[in-house]
Amino acid sequence: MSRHLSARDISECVIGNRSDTVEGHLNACSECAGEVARMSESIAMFGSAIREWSEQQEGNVEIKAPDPAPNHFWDMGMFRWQVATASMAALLLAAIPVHRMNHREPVPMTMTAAVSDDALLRDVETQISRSVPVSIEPLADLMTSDTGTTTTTTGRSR
Amino acid sequence: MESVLQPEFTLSIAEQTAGELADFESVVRQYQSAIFRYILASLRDRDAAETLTQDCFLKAYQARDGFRGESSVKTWMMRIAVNLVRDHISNARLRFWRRTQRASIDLSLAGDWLTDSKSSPEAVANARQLVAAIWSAVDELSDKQRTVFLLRFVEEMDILEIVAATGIKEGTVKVHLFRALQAVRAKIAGGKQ
Repeated sequence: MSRHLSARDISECVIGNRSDTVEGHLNACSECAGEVARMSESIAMFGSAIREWSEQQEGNVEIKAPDPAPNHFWDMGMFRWQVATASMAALLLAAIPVHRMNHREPVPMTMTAAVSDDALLRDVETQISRSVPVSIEPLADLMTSDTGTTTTTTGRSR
Repeated sequence: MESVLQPEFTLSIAEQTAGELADFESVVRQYQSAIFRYILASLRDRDAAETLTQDCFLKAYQARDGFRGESSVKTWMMRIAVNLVRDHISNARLRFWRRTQRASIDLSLAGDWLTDSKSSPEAVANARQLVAAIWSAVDELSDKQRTVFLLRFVEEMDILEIVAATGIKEGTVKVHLFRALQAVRAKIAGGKQ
């Protein structure tokens, strides 16, 4: 086999992706097989060196698991939903009386108008039926008692 | 017997992962090393790695209710770590600090991390030189190339896990990996000459 593996083929081999064609070539070509083996070994060596170095560095490192007790009120999972629901219910309950106060049953306009009309008519009737003005009604009463005739202040004497 | 065991087998992945997240202390114990290692290798700053690892678990804890089990817990944790590292790197002030840190400690000590007592001194020296060359190549990669390279070859995640952890499309992950490997290969070849 005259052609060797391309750089991409060698990279694919190191990554771990080998097609049958490439595998066949590696079995036949010691040069390419050697190159793939060298690269793989070098990178594996690098990986283990990094792991060892990291292990040494990690020796004094103490990573603490986050405190399961909530630091913040809203970290409390399901409890926060319960609190939120209760708050909403309380707000709604408080809002109902306020709503009722602001929306009292209005007295129908026609009814008030009718009442005031009746009162006005009664008042007019009273005024018309007076024989003397209101201010001298007491004197008029005295006069009627002197003559023996009895009239009411509201009675008509025409 | 089957009927007793059946409920265990019918647990969905989401239920399993939710159960795994319920005991958060064991999640920390299980994934602390991988998260710390990825952040340390990305930033090469031990203090930042420690802080960001703590932040990573805090974020995961706060977001655990929203975890839907679409990936493994490790992939999900790694995604948080990848985002934290990206945010950290994007901070220009910290980037300056990171460069200063790197220049002073990294490359001179890179080879010392190999402890293979079985090899001959010459082989150990060659291995250290090789690791230093790769470390130097990784240092020069773009942030995305470095991320996918570290996730693949240090954390040994497969392509689909890297896709899930980074949010980068599969084809793009492969391109980043290919370019990273090309850079590493060139560095190794240059080191031998």
